[in-house]
This record gives sequence, structure tokens and C-alpha cells, in this order.
Amino acid sequence: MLLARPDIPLDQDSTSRFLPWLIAFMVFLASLALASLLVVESLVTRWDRGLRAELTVQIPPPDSSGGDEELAGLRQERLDQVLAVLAKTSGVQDAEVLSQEAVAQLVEPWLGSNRDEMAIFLPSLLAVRIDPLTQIDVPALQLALDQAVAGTQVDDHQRWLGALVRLARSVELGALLVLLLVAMAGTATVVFVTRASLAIHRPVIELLHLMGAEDRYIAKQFQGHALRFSLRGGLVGFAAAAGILGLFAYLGDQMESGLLPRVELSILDWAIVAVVLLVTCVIAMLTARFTVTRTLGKLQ
Amino acid sequence: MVRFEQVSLRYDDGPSVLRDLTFSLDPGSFHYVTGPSGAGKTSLLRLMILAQKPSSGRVVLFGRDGATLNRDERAETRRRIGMVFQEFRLLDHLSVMENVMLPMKLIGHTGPQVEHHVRELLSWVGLGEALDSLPHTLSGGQQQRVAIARAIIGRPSLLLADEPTGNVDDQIAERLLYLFEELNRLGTTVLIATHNEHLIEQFRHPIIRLDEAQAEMLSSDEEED
Repeated sequence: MLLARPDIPLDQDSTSRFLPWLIAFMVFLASLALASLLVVESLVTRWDRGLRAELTVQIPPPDSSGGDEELAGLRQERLDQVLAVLAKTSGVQDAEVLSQEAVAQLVEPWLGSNRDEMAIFLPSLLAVRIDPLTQIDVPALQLALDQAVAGTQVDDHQRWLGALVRLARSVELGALLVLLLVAMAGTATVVFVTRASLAIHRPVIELLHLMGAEDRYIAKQFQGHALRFSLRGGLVGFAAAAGILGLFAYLGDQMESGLLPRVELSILDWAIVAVVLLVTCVIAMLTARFTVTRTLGKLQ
Repeated sequence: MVRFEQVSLRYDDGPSVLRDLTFSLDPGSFHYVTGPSGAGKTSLLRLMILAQKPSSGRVVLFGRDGATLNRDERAETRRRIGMVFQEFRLLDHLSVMENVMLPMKLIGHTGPQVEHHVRELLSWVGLGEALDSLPHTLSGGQQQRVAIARAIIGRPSLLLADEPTGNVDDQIAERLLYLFEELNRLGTTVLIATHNEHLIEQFRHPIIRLDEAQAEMLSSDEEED
């Protein structure tokens, strides 16, 4: 119990009252920025992994004015020719033919629901599963399929995936920038507050020096103080950020929309976000220590 | 223990506070510093605790020139010195007990045994009932005794006291002087800046008399004459 109080009454400073709140706000922002970075990264990885393992092959409908049976026969003939090319292609695991019903459903938002009329215009679609470890020569495959059935298209999704990844990377860069700015603002704040405290407590510090205190003894007091306020503020900020992320995840689940990405953090992600708190404490401690030793070192 | 070699001191462009002081204090000696107000008694003590650099000359403490010490060495030297400040300089947010414990804390000595020692010392100076009090709730005399207890708790090699009996009654003053003499017998070199002629008469020791920025060494007998 005795000596629990620090020699320098840093807790009585007016700066000590607002600083934990400032740290809380910074940890809140940094946690959200880092969480968004992790969510985006996980989304990009998911998309990339999913789409790299699949190609879409689109076979144009046969040009026929005959009846349904003849049309179906021609479609099947083209399908078989394409399947034969795919079967010979290294890395292709299997190909699933999408039913005309399924294709019609895919285009329904744009072309309406009159499926009988659309049937003759709809292409045949193949979902081709490929071995992710094998690099498929898409242009060569495109050429071979085009030779088998003129007008057949291979889509490896890279065009729109590339744009999506670029967008995601921009979001990640923005989040990193926020993290950097928050770290810089936090460091500057701790430097400013530490210098102010050094000025306020100069008589006490001078007395401690005259009694034989070394600079590191005094720096340790500031360091301990920085740890206390950053931990206090950091916990509040982290709890607030966790609450917000939880709320987003809940709202995302409620919407059940395939268009919106799910805000989903794994245990590892949560651990990484929690590192913000740890890093904040370490930065605050080191900054306070460095500021004190540097400032005192300049004194006589 | 302490050696002044042609030490002079002036603040900025002001007049000389101390001029060409040359004297030494042997280990285990006991001296008073006297002189009129403004004679430089406090400045002399500040030079000895390395709170002030001399304008010229050398202050040698424990065999080392104070000007050549780095910050850590200076701190180490100061830990061997107990200082009673004229204005006490107690830490108002700490209790009496915590204030007196401070020098021990600085050298990493804490724990029940040290606490017991501090309690004993505070009882001896008549503050056994005020262990948990905050300094600003005490009288001037009580604060002075806390300051003295803080200065001597670590059994310093050198004790510097600036008017240590200025705020206490004669009985307490005598008791404190007995305490300083006891410390001196145990090996502490003592230097007391004081105006108290009565105590100087009663507890006879050599004197450094400061006047017009210069020092004169007098034996206790010379002072009597």
C-alpha cells in the first residue's frame, strides 16, 4: 500500500483528464480502420480463390429457324464439341452445364421473365472447375474453343475481378493511411502532454534530481503514467470499436443480401485488432520515456 | 570529502556572490556556515549539491571534480548527500512517511524493515503520530523535522542543512543538533548554515564565515573570541 503513489503527481494534471478520452478515440478509429482492412483483405482473398478455380464458357445459340427438337439437337452437338476440347485441356477438372432454366434466371433481371421467347437467344453456359495449382493458358483455350464452335467465349473473370481488387486495395490503402495518421497524432499528443507535464512538475523533478534521482527513474514515472492512461483510454476505444463491428455484423446478417460483403472477423483477426491496444500502450510508453530523457538530457 | 578551489559564483551579469573560495571539509568533520543574509550561504550549499555550477574554480566532492561528472555520476554523488532545504521542499501529495521514504526508494530500498526504520526516526523527531499526514497540514516546525528526517534517513556521507532550526523552538532545535552530532559521530560530514548564535555557542564546531562574497575559516574558539 505504501509507496503506491508516484513521486510526481502526474494524475493531478488537467491533461490527464482529457488524454484517456483522446486515446480512446484514436484506438477506436485505428481499430475500425484495421478491422476494415482485414475484412476487405479477407473478401479479396475469398473472391480471388473462388474465381481462380473456375472459368465460365459461353456457347452462342445455334442459328436455326427449325423447331425446338432441332434446336436442342444443335445445342447438344455444340456442347459436346466444347466438352471434348475441355476434356483434352490440362488442368480442367470438370464442367457443369447450366440448365437453360438456370441461365434464364441469371438474365431475368435484365431481360424479363418470358423464358419461352428468350430460349432461342440464350447461350449455353458451362461452369468449368479447374485445378487451382495448374496455370491454364486461357488465350490458347479460347482459340481452341473458337475453332471447335465459332463464337464461344471463355471468361476467367480477371477483368472485373481486377477492377474489384484495385478498389479493395484502395480501401486498404486508405485504412493504412488512417492507421498511420492516428499513430502520428497519438505520438504527437503524448509528446505535447509529456512536455507540458515536465514543465508543470519542474520543481518536483528538480527536487528528485537533487536527491539523486537519475533521469531514467523520472522517465519511468512518466512511462508508468503513459501506460495507465493509454490502457484506460485504449480499453474504452477498443470496446467501442468491437461494439460497432458487432453491430455491423448483426445488421449484415439481418439483411441477408448477397450484394453486401459480410463483416466477419476471425479469432485471429480479433487478435490482430486487439494488437492496436497493445501497440498504443507501447507507443505511449516509449514516447513518454524518450521525451523525458531527451528533455532532461538538455538540462544542466 | 569536499574541496573548494578558488571557487567564484555570480548569477548572470550580477555581482559576485562568492569570490575565490578555497577551503576543504575533512571526512567526519562538522562545520557551521554563518554570515549575514545574502552572504551566499545557500549558494554555497547549492554548489556543494551540484545544483549550481561555479563561474570559476573547482568544486571537488568525494575526490571528483563536480564539473567532470556526467548526469548519472552526478545523481550517484547526490545520493551520498543529505540536504535540508530552507524552504523544506516536501512533496505535498505524499504523506510524511512517503516523503521520508523517498531517498530509500531512490536507491531501491523499500520494504517492512525500512518502513520500521522510518517510523522510528519520525517518532524520534516527534512526528510518530503524523505518519500519514500530508505536509501542508503540518506546522512549519513539523515540516522542517520531516525535511530533516528525509535528509538523514539514508545515513548520507555528507549532510548539508540550510537553517535547519529556523522554524523550531529551542528544545527541538537542541534535539536536532544532538541528532546531527550523533550522525557526525557515526561518520557523516556535517555542514549547517545557520544564524542561530545560541546553538553555535552551545554545540561548538568550526565555522565558515561568509561576508562580502568571501569565506573565512574560524575554529570554534576563534568564534567565541
